[in-house]
Amino acid sequence: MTGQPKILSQRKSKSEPRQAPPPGERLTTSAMIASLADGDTPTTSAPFGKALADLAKTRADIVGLSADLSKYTDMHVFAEAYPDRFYQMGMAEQVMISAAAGLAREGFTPFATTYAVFASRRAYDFICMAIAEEQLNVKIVCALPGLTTGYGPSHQATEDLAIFRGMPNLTIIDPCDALDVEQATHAIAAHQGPTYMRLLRGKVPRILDRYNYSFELGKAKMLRDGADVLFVSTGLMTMRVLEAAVTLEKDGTRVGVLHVPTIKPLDTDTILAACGKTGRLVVTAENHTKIGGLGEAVASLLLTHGVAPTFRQIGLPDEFLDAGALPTLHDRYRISTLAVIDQVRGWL
Amino acid sequence: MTRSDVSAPHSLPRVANHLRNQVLELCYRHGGHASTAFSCVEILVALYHGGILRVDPSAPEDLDRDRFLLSKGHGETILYAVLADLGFFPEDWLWTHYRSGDHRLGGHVDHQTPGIETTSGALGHGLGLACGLTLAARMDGQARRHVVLMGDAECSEGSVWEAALFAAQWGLGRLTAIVDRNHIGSLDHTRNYLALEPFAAKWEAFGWEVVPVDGHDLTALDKALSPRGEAEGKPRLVLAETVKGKGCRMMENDPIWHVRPVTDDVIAQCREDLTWTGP
Repeated sequence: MTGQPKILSQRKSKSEPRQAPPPGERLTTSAMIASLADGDTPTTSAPFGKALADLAKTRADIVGLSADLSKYTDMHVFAEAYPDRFYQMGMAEQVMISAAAGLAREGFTPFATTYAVFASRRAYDFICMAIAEEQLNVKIVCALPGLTTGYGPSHQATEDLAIFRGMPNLTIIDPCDALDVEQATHAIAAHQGPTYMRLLRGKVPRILDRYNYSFELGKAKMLRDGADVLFVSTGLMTMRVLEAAVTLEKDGTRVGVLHVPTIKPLDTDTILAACGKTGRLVVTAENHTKIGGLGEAVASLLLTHGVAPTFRQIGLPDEFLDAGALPTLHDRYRISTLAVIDQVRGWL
Repeated sequence: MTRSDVSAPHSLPRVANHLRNQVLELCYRHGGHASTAFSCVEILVALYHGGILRVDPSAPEDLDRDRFLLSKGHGETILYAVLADLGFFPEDWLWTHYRSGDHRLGGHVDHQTPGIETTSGALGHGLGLACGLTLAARMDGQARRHVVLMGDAECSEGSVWEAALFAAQWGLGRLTAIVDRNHIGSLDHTRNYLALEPFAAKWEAFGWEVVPVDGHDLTALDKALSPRGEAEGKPRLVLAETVKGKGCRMMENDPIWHVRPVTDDVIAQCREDLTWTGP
């Protein structure tokens, strides 16, 4: 399941945006599940698993559970380091979540992993009633958020944020890169309360250390400022819009990027202040359907507070998506860097 | 928190009848699933008044307490009556707070009520939760027991069987599940839609020790539920054969009483049925 960067990288250098292969050239199946990194971007392997194992050195309350997906959620790193604190639950998401709730009731801090589709679609009632309603300290960490697998709708959690945003008490995190994943893992472990975190797994790109950035729970961070366009982005789309910003700058467009890794509770003050600066186009960008995710959360916030910039959304369409190679799909569904650039140019 | 701290066994049938009357009055005044509660009155009396559970009304959060989960959360009225009778909260709460909108005694069991471990009402949750509680006790080296009461119709939920597999796999010997086998779901007899038989054989096949018992026989229940002191081993399934609506003749074995309210036209007959005639 490790990445095959050459397949994903259609570029000669990192300054060149990623693009889909030419017509007729078909990417191999491995590109469906490959790492999100291209050949030039530095990566960190299994940042979540390593961070969790690191935390567990001093936190005897941390236990791990996985619904038969430890290797594919980077939980295996923790499981190998702390076999006595790891439970392989089998493909049984309902009992995994219920058991995690039971462990949390007794003072443990369970980290439960599966794919985002299974947590959000199958285990919803159990997360809602066993964990969120009682504000139990369970961390649900899920791989394959949004369009990060080419395996089709059964594995593509394109609506997990929409599903979970309506659940009271739940904190929701969508990290951008390896640094974000590492720091967010520590932050959610320190936070008392139920948390859902979208996970980038395997060889995860590491780009945010180029910015004066650190993850803070509940905080949005301005990574760069610019007077013409403001991207309000989350998850891996922050990587995409940072790349798009470089190209757009060459057009003479000044671009700001506000990274919003905490989807709930939303950092309303920072978002309102950034979007309230007059004269720039506000573009939300998320690896998620345009329905019910960051874009609509920001739109609702702005409208409620009478902040009315020109507003556009980048995100996945309200469809069940195709199976195929990820670069092809990211282009098709308009979340690749080139597609971001193209859309913004059209709106300016 | 020893078994001798609570009522003497000979008084238990009288206690059960008293609590059944309280359930009837609660349902008459504020609604509730009377027949669902009636089928498990003796089970709860055996657990609480019979002293199977080591719990202390004056210290409901004591770490060493046994954990009881009412997974069939629609039977809340009998649990409230039991807890009030033992002093977990004042008895007048039954009459002033049940379904009054202040969270003290909710429409289905709620973890905010003293003596109640967890919110329930969405079915199929309790057994998995108890698996987590039991794992926690094992990791903490604690000797407490964990008892879950499920409805038989609740066993239609796939999550029950996920948890059943898990408990057997991990040898959760300190976990006891009781199934209130009253043969009726919310609308019909279970045999008419998702038949459960051979029910005991299913649990045995899943790796559980199955103990069949008459769910209205307090002496038999005491024997079936008594601790064995084994930390590890097979989880225990007490299959309690019961009558839904037990005690009120018009309710007994009639599915409609899962939801039919206790109204003015039936209350007199129900009260008469529950008039104590025992020793």
